[in-house]
Amino acid sequence: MKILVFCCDWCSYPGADLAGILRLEYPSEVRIIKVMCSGRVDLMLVLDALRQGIDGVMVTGCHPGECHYVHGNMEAERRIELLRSIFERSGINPRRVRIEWISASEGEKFAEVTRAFKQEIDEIGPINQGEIDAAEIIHDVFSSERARLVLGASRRAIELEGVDPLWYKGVLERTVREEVLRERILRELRKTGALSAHELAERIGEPAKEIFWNLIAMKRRQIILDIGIVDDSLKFAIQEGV
Amino acid sequence: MSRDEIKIGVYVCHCGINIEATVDTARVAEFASHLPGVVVARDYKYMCSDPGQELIREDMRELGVNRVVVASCSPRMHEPTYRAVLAETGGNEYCFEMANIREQCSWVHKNREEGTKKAMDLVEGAVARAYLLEPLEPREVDVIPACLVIGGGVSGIYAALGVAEKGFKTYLVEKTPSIGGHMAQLDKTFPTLDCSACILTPKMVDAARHPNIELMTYSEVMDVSGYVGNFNVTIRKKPRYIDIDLCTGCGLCGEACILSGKIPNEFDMKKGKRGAAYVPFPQAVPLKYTIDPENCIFLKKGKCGKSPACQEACPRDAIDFTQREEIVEIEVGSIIIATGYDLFDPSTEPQYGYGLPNVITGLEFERLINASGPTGGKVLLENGEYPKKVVLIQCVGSREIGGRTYCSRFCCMYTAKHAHLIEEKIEGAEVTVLYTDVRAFGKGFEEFYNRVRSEGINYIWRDLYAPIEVTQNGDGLKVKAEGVGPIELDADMVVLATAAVPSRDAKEIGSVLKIPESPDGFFMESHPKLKPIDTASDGIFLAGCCQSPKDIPDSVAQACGAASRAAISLFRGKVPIEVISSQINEEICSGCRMCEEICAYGALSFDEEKGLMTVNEVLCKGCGSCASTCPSGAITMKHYKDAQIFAQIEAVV
Repeated sequence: MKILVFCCDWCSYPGADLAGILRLEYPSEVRIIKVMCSGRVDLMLVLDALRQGIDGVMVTGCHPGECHYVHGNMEAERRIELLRSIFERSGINPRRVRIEWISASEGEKFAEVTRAFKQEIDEIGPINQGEIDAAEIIHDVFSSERARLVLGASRRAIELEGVDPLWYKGVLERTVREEVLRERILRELRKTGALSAHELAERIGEPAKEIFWNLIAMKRRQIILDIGIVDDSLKFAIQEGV
Repeated sequence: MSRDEIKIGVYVCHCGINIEATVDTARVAEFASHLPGVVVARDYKYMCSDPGQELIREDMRELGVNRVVVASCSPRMHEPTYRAVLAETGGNEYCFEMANIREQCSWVHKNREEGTKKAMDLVEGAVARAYLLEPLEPREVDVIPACLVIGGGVSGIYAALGVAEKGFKTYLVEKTPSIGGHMAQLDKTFPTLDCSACILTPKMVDAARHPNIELMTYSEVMDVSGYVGNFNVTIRKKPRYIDIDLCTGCGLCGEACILSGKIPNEFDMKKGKRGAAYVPFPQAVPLKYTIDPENCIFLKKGKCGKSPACQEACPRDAIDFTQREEIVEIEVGSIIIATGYDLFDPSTEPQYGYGLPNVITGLEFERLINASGPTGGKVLLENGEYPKKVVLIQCVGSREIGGRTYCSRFCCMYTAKHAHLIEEKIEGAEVTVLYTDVRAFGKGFEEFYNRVRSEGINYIWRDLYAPIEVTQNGDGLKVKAEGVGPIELDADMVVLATAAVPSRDAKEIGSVLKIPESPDGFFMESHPKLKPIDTASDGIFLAGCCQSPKDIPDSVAQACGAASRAAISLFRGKVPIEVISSQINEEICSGCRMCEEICAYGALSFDEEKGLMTVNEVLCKGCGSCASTCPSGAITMKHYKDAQIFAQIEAVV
């Protein structure tokens, strides 16, 4: 089993040090990666870990209101929350990622949360191929511009322009889900050549109607093209050079 | 540096047996020697020792090692040590990485096989990262040659004098109307029995008159931003409703106030009374009156008789009810926190009987026995008589199981002093001390304790974890406890040696300054032994009881130390600043401005002409939130590049 813990330079890393100073045992599967701030933890880093087969990823940072960099931890929380809700619908157990606040004086808490996380991962078992494949797809989604733009604009929208946070969260989740679906469509097309909305729906397991609208949107962006009606249905293929 | 020039040296430390006991360091070094880029891997007893450091220097000179990985303790402990080795030997200090195989491995795992395996993984991660690290150039900024001291007790006063004496402007901010702190409330000081006010008040005056010290009493620090060398501090000066330039401290307003002698005086632990216009004590510095807005009838109701009596009485027209709070901004290079302590409230633990007549705390006792206190130095019962049987109870609220587990450190000695003073001042009084362990650790303490015991004071051992009960018994009190056998004592006065607890305002100051607290709630020092004065934040230092309970000599010593530490950067005139900053790839940046609001420091701004973002590297603190937000991947964080982190993740598991 492999567990990755991101620690920030100011609170949770010294918190982990304190666990050591106090000789508090925690699972040896835990591997710590130090970053300056939990806000540095790009979702790509988390997803990269999962697609490598790491069974659980925990992001840790300063308590709310105590971030050394003011609000980096809140950005981290926003991202992890989004990831968990995306995972729920993508076949990845959302319990594989979590976020925890650990201050420099909470050595005991560091040991506790890592023990609890290990136990949780024990319960849900090692990451399976389906989850790894799904992580790969979501990784690609978060390396493309659209999902990152909508996620990146969260703070501006919610905290500075007063957009309803729940509504924005909905938009964000919808956008990412859509991007995940499009990524899956692309993968199927790449594999098979040309497919219709119904054929794609069967392979992907999502409603044909939703797939069709996404095909249209992708066609408009010239990512794919329709190659006309073959065997009574409209088929789509990847645009050359994409 | 092209990849084939990369020569990594790996050094695995035994840390005596701290690491070696759980990690086979020789095997880890052997493993590391086969990793990509590694030209030499060694294990050694103490890498941080001189010969250990010399190993690195030698390999840099002889083998051309240009990247160093040390697998030992936390980088928070020795990263600066090794970085200095690289810099001195002609390398770049940022081409260095530590694998924390002590705090994260040998100290938290018991199985040697598991520990060794994990240590290998951690070293592999560090090597993978070191392979991709890039040399960075250290940067410096100018230091504002001024210091802020928060808290005007004995620690704050000595800290401020210490910095001011070195020639730097010092702001001494105190939340109450006068400096002096708890020490000003004390009568005699142990073990020498010299009068507290007599030794403190001259220092209070020195601080007030020092040309380099700007005293800001009745003021609070609201906000601090910036970094070592360049802190911006926002201070709220509360209105005194008295023009301190005009006030001479004559006291006519205090006498005239129609509430004179009616409001419990906090300085006297509410055993004495004051008016709404008041000075907390006669030797207050500055000796300027303050009108207490919570009690003043005029301030509360807008009317006080025909016209306020204080205003009528003041011969210099100093009273000004139109005063408003003032927000002052100052800039300093370093900060000393000296916010002191508060006393545990014994009424939260009813077994001690606090609230019954003649059950008082040690600090209340100090006010009673003080010649300038409310009773003129007479320790009297509430009925006006002298007590005949006094029981002093130690460790009230300290050394608990769970909760306040710590020792408050100064109560043993002040209890001995109280016993001595009662014996001296009240003829025939019978004094009993209920103690658990007498901790007489300081200079002259043991001698003082022996002297007090020989004066006929009855010291009885009590079991701290057995029940204790202080109850009313007719006109007097009864104390029941357990020691060698059951203890039952009649008393007419009980004095509680209450625990020192973190100052009520400490949490707020801590969050403003971003200083973490230890589990006991006191501010956490940077290292418990080697950096007892520094905090985790550069340029912010601790003095006195805000760090842990201390007696006066220890507080003064730490304050003088803090003054020296705080003056270092002021003397140097320059401080190194964060090298880790973000960088924008202009080829990729789309100018979407997504990073602009993510940055808490305004380090990223939009260049209208180019239509791109630009970074102000002095403002950038290197958190990296912008890099993880950038939709197009145009931002890279120096020293924490995506590739560097990816490589470490891949290698570490």
